[in-house]
Amino acid sequence: MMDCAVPILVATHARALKAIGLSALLHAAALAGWPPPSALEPPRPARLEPIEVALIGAAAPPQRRPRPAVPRLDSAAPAIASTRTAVTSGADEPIHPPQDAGGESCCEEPLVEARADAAALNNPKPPYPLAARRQGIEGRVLLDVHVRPDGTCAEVRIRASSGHRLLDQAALDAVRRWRFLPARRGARTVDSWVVVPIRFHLDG
Amino acid sequence: MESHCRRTLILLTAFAASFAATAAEESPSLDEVVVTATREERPKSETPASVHTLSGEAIRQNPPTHPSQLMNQLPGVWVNTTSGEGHMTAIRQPLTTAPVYLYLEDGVPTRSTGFFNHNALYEINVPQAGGLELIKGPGSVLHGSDAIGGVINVLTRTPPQAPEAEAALELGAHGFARLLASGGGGGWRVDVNRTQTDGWRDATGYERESLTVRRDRALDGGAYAKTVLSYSHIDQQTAGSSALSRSDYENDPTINYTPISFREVTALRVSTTWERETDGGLLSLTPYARYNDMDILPNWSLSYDPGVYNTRHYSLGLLAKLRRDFAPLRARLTVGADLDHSPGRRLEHRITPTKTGKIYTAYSLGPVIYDYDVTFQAFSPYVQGELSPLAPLRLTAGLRYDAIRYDYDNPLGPLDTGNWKRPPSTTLDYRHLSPKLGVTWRLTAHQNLFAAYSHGFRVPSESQLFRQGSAADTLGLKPVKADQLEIGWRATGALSQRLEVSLYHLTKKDDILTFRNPVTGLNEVVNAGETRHYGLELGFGLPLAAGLALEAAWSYSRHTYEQWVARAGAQNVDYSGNEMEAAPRTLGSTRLSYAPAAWRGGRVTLEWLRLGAYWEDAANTYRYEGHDLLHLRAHYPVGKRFAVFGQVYNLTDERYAESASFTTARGEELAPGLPRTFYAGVRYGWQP
Repeated sequence: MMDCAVPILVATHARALKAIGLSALLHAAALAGWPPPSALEPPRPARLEPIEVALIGAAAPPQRRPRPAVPRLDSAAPAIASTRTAVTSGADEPIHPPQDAGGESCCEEPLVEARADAAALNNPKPPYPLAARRQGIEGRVLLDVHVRPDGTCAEVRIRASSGHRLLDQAALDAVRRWRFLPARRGARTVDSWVVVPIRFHLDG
Repeated sequence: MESHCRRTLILLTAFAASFAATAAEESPSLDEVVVTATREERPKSETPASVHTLSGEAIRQNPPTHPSQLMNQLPGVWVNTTSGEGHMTAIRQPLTTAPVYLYLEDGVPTRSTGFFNHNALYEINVPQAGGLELIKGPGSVLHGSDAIGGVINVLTRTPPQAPEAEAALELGAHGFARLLASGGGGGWRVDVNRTQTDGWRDATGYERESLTVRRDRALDGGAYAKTVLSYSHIDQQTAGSSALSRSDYENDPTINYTPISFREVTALRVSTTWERETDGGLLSLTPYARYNDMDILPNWSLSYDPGVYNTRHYSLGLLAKLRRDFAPLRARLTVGADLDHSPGRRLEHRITPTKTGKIYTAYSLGPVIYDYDVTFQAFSPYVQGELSPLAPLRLTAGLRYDAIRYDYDNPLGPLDTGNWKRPPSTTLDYRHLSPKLGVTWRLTAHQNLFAAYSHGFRVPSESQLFRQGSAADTLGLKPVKADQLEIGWRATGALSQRLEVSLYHLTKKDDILTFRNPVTGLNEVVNAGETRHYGLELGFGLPLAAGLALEAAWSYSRHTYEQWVARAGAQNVDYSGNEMEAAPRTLGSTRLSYAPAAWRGGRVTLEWLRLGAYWEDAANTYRYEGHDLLHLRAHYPVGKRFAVFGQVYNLTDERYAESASFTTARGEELAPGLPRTFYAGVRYGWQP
């Protein structure tokens, strides 16, 4: 397009060129993947979180086991769920998952389900991961949580991924530290499964 | 019949069983926990400044053929077209080439302050941007020299996680063709822009190639890294507005007096932002490198100072910021520092142009008149505190210190006579403190007020200092200082209503506006001026009916010389009290859009652009009458993967001027604007 003679500068900025070159190399390295990333890859289903098998014995993933039909007894509670329960006499004893769908007999005392009232138990919400915020990543994670009779989590698993590893991991990390009001049957605390839905949402 | 009934029964039983199994597998759930965060570092409602944003989606649906088509949709903004994608800008200032705007890409300055160029937006891949932010006025402590009229931050597009690709091919009149391709996945994105046009006037061809590569990564320990590489190359005939006499403007607008003029620009930037959250805090580091190179034969100075030159500079820089939040009073403290080291060079030849009639047809290269090295260095620490003594109240106070140095080396030696004087090698230092104060008040969840005082400044650019020209002394130039007071009201409604009102008053002192001398036609640099700028800006969005919406951006402002005594030939002329030239009082963009749900994202928009009358000279003797333009834009998806889009620019084929000026030496000169022009494109998007 140009039909005019363009004066060419003879670059004498050797030092500047070196510095620029070095900088460009460093950025290129960053672009190419140095330092090694914790890559923002979609979660791989095969890489489930570690399962604390010892605590729940031979428990299979909760989805695979039928759940007893347990009525909600305290519908006014802010966050209440019921799942399969295993009767236990105390938190120190090994927890045994229910063996069949009819684990609850007609003569047992009514179940008061596990609760995770975030305000009452001072359960902090997961932080919104920085990298997810920066990239506008949103999503909803469903977690299966096995609540021990002492209210701690025996196991947390992803029931439905958000589609983003960062969000899944943030939800797992936070809920693992949560304390629940354990399910009770009469005076006894029992272990139970609850589903915790966590939605990550960006405003603006 | 019986077997049919049995089969039906079996099917029903199986269906019931499968339903029961599904029900048994459903686990009851706790109430949903919602984790909410804001996309912005700071909510707009607590930002004591006029901030406007344009979404990336809106930009890409109808990609602008010139950045002015986006910018002019914002209240109080006039960006004109010089040639190609070149521009001058008026934001709380008259239309100017002076360094009073700070241009950023993802927060990184696209040029070093010392090497300002008013055409900054053509060095950024605007049509493929992920968004655009404008902060009007001197900005916050994050913004240093050049941020007087406003800060323009073009955002790159976020890389996708899942693979995706798209390509848009667009054709238009006057040989316009553009390919915009983008794709990525796994935290990568690559954008490619290839644009070309023959131009609607003689010898105004334009070619552009841009490449943007971005990679986002989550690092171990919750850190985040973003690396952006941006490259643009521009090759254009005719650098500048190529203004015409009024007669030719009205009767022969395609004529170009300066076909020998050209410009070739290369801009390369690479930056990596590394961020890490600590308990209640954020550490952010952005090292960057930059290279800007321009060969130019400017057309505006052919009659009085013909030359051809190259300017280039390299940069190494760092933006460092540490933020900490404290629970009491929601206090937030931000400290940071910006560093910039930019060696550069200017090589300029005088030329002898050949004129046939009124057209410059050729030129011969003359002697070197400037050949110097200059290194710009800046170290700018800053601190900002925010707190809320009352729940709806947010106070912000900040202070920025800029230490700036020019190290100038003139191997040709000094020259103190003639029209191309050269200052001796020297080092110049500037130190400047910029205080900022702001307050926001939340009236309701959807309404807030703000008030702010901000101080801004700009140091003289290298060419003003060291390309001395005929001026007696340029090394003594001081920074321009600006003080702005502003109040504003922002409201949003449940139905996407939006209202933004701001009232500002800005005073500039020690102004060194480039001044075209009315008698000699020469550009003079004057440092002892004071100018005043004030105005009312209004932006709103209003849904009218299903799918129908009205948006508007209007402003009324006054720009006056308060103290301005400029040399005119052998005597000085006092322009104090006059209105500044190229400063229309009224600017307006009104857009009516129709996007019914049945169009599934399709939209047609009619824009009415109003530019008010303005003086063409500082003496206030010649006046440009202003103009009204209508633009029609449409975007319509076809199937899942295709979309068609188009634009009719200047629907009524109005004759208008992109700029108009008057000097006694050259008379009235007007740069004609693009007549009615059709563009149409098709976009293909792919996702697995």
